[in-house]
Amino acid sequence: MELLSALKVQGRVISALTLRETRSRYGNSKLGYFWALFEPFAHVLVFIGIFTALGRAPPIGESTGLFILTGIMPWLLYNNVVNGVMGGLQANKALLGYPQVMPMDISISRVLLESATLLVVMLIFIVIAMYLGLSIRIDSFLGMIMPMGLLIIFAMGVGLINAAIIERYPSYRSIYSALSRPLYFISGVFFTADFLAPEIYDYVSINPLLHLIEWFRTGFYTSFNSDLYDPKYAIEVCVSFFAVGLLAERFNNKKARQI
Amino acid sequence: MIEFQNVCKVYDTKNDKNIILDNVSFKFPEKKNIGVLGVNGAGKSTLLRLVAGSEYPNSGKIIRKGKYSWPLGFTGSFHHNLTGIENLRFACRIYDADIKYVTEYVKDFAEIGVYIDEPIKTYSSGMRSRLAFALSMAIDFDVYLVDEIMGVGDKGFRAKCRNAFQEKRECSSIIMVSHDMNTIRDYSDVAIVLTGEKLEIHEDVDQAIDLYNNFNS
Repeated sequence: MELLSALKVQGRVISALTLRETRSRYGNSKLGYFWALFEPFAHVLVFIGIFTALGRAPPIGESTGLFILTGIMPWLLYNNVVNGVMGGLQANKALLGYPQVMPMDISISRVLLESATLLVVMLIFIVIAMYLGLSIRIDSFLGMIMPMGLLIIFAMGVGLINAAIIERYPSYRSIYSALSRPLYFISGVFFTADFLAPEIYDYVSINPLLHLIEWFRTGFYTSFNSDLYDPKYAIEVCVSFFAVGLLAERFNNKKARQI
Repeated sequence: MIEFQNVCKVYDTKNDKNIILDNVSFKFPEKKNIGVLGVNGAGKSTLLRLVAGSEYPNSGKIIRKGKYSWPLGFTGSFHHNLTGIENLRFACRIYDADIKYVTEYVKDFAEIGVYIDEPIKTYSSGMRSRLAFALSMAIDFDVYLVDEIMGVGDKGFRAKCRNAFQEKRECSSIIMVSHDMNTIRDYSDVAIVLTGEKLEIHEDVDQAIDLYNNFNS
């Protein structure tokens, strides 16, 4: 009974927070919507330019745009969820004045908003691509949803860990953003694992994001089946990060309420 | 009902520890309006936040039964980048209150006019406290936790606050912190003095105020 009413309160808080986050992102200016669509589009344009200049064909399929898109969407999902969770507490600290608002609720609302945004943007791009006459045959929906779900869990874990570290060492924020920049280049956004030189293959394949993006593309393209991705490895890493993230949150949560 | 059991509250400062409460076990008197007295920095606002549950003790337990308001103060729970109305809606949602009713009530009570649609950061402290007070009055609580904000505003507004409380007297009480002894005298049935990391209850409010004045001088 007590648990049920506590869950009800938590549900109300999370929905109120999600509404508030959505409003502050998209409510006051049209720029929010524009940016959500433009950011992946900009990445795609840049790589179409590079691929064309180098005279290279996309590794899978016929469309460079579609290839980049299937890499950039999972990447942005990861990146936006991490950044959202990481900055959520700082941006909403005032709301902790309400006793029923828990730091975790803020994180959950940010994960919901970022994931929903990326999902909608992806659907829009797929519709546009179809409209442009690209033939899209999605190989396996489950093969796309699984890696996306794991990506969200992984990103939330990383975000919570980061938030806990930032609470103690604020300068970690810039260290993380410096560390995460090279991650973009080794996560398979603009290549597939087949292109990796054997000397670095073992090292680069530690990166769970590479596994997830390869997995995602395997689900998307009928003509592609990655040798690299290992579902067991990906699940283990993502779930571990998520668990550590929850633990970090527990410590951080107490600290946030002790000011 | 609110009870502290072996509550310790400490703030870490750069070179030292600032002890607010040291192993305090204390039962707050029920259904009484309580004024909290203490010198600057003794931790009156902290005490209120502990009672509300928006801050946790370092150790010990706080047992709370009934519906307590958030600590109504100058800073508190409002998000500075959101407008008054957005903050209001947020509070309604998390307390499961009727948004339409609360909006009407607050517009009428708070007298902040068009500022209700402006971000909180553009508010004066008087406007903030009027909004906080009106909002909390529109939502029903068993205990209102008021941090300083009753002393502000003009005479008319203070009278309004007083009337609003009179109406709620039957089913609600108040725990308040104020530097203004007249406000304390006005509202409180009993006084709690926060001193030397302990809580002391005084049935006689005037006596407590005298004691407090002695501390202060």
